Amino acid sequence: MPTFFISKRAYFILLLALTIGVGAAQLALNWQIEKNVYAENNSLLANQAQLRSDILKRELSSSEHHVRFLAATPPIQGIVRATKNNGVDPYDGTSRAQWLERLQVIFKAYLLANPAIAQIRYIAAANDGLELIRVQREAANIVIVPAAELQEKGSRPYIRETLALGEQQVYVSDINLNREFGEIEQPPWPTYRVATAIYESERQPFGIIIINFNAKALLDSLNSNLEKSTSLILSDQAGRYLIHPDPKLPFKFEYGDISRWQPSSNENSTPTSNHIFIDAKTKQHFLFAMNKIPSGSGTQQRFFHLVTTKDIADINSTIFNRQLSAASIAIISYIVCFLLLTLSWLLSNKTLIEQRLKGDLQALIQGSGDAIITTDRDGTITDWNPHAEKLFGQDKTYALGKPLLTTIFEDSYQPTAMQYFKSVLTEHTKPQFEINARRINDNAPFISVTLSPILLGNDNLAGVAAIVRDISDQQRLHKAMLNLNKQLTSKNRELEQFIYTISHDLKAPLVTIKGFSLRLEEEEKDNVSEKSRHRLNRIISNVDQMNKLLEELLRLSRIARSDIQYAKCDLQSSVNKVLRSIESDINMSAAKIQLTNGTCSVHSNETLLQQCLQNLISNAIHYRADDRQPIINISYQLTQGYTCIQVQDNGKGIDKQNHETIFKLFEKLEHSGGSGVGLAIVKTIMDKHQGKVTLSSKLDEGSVFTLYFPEATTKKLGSINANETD
Amino acid sequence: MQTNLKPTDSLSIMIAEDNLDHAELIADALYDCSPQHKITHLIDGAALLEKLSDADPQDLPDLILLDLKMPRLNGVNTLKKLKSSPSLQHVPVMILTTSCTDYEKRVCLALGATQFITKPIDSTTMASYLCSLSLSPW
Repeated sequence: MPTFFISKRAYFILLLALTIGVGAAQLALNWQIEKNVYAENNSLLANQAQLRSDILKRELSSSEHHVRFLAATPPIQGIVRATKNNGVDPYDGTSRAQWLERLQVIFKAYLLANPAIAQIRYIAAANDGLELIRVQREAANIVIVPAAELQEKGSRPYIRETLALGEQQVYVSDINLNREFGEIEQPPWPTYRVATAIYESERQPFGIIIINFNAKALLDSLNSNLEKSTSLILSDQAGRYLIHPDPKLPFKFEYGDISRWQPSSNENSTPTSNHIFIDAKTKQHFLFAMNKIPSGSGTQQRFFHLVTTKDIADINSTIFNRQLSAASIAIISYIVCFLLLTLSWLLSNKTLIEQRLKGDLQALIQGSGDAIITTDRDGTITDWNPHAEKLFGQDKTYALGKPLLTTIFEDSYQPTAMQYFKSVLTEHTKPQFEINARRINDNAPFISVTLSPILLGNDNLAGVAAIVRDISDQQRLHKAMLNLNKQLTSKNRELEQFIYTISHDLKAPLVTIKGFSLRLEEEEKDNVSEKSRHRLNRIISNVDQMNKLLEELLRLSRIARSDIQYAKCDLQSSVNKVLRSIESDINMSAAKIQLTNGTCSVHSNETLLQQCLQNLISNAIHYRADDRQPIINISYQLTQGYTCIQVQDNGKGIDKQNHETIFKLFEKLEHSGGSGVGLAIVKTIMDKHQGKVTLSSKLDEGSVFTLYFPEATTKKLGSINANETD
Repeated sequence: MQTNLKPTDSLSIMIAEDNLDHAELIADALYDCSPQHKITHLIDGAALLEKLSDADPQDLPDLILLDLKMPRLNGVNTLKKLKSSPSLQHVPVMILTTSCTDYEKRVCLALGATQFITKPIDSTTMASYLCSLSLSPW
């Protein structure tokens, strides 16, 4: 059992912390990814730029090397010397023409060996820059231009610029499209010139060696094998495009276009910071790395901008993809952590609930006022609570491991108990039975035992629980109560018999009194005074009154003692019989008697039902209000297992304080001819039916008596055998 | 100052009794004691109290005979009302009964009844009760 619990609060705090943590980590990671991707791209672009720059530098350096090599060949200085010495080289006697011829051969061989070279010229500073030698490539041939076709190039800036350079310094021109006679040659091809000055003496230049290179291969090689989605921009120092991802832009300046590369800084970019430019036309953002590559030397040094670029959209797409991957991992991790956390919370909740349940159960079992014993399937005791120790006088250590039945039950009850136990095992019943416990210290408590299956799930029986209650006291009380009841019934019967007997026996002397009084009246009527006759009449009248009382009492007694027979009695016909028997009273009072909601069947003794109705109707007539016609409504209602018959009148009504009294024997509220027995009889009859009679009434408004007859049931009604003689 | 009555005196006596025969028998006994007694019969306690509530102080009776078991207002409750009324509490009350329990007897005496008379009563016994009656003059 784990000892840690995650409370609901802790769970939500951890969940919140997890969410915030993962969110923050994701944000930090996103930032880092962005930074890394930019750094990678900066590095990539810088490498690319460096690589291309190296190519360009090597090529330029190689170009310079070519021109220096040619400048260092012997015919160059031979021509200078021969020119100065009237056409003959004083050094070895070689003529100028011979030197020129040799140089032409060298130039031609050089063109042959270097396909990138389009033209090599030796131009003299004198004679307005007259070309001394021009060897050029025309289609597939290498042509040495004849002397007659050589031109004066003194006006060209490259002559001036080259001549302005010091010894060993090299002029490198911009790269532009090759022109013939001022017009761009078709198809256009890029070219640049590399030249160096030839000095006849210190400070006195003789002319220049100039090589025209076809830059196409160079530019192509620079622009080839670029990394995916990177582009190259090459511009000269004026920012004019030589290479550009937009194929229309390179050399467009030759046609008057003024768009230029205008970097924010003229310096080489550093990989640590992002350099971004915005394409003026497409508004695309590009990351770039720029190298500044010097060309030429001395005062005429120029430079190129070599720029590698990458579309920011591409970079952002890479960033987004990486962030997406990172986010996926974060989300998966988050879900895993969430599930783990939730699972541990649920588990811990479950554990908590289980522990709580266990605690509750222990408290219930330990604190129970009943003995609670559990057994395994074999009936071996596995638990024995403190009350069991008390009830059976054995402590837990003694009881554990012993068989339940022989431990707690009296030997003679073993077979019965075993049957109950088996029924629990096989049918999972929960039998309850009362039995004698095993005797301890001369005391065998009477116990109530409930056996209950201990189920794992629905069907898997793990054992049996026995809940044992000491009911010795209840048993004693129950027996005492039964005994008392018996005595009470017997006393009641005696009392009823007594009333019956005295009522009956009192009638005998009464008959005698009346008999003699009548005799006296008859024989002495002429001899006694008026007063005495009156007194004699009063005697006879009182005897009659007492006789009537005794009759009522006997009737009451008979009802109480009789064993009544039930039948389905029709209310209408019972009422009709009653009305016939008291017809004269009804006529005299002009009472209106009606059944308001028809008839019903009443489960009762018909005679007694009629008796009740007669007493109630008679009372209603008798106690009518003087100022109105008596109206008596009889109705019925079925409620909660009773057939209720209501007798409602509009008579004088009964004061609330007398509602109970009037049902008592000989209670009268008025000076009337009544005996005070009528309602007592109604009550007795209703008691006899195991029903009741209720009254609701208001003075001067009328009364409602309600008879509650229980509906027919199968239960045996309490009865006392009739035992009357007359 | 108290005086003992003589049987020949003329007393104003009220009887509250629902049984007319009983009332007649008591009236006869009183008449036998002295024909001068002024006897008023009332049908029950309620009628008695009604009568007394209308009466002038000088018309108050010298003695009230009260039956216990009466409809409307029984003897005990009538006695309670009599003894709780400032003008009536001095009138002596005798209880008429055919049979009564000790408990009823104790209650009535505690409430201030003067005497218990068991019915039926003959004139001699009635006379002795009247003689033993002490009346405060008013």
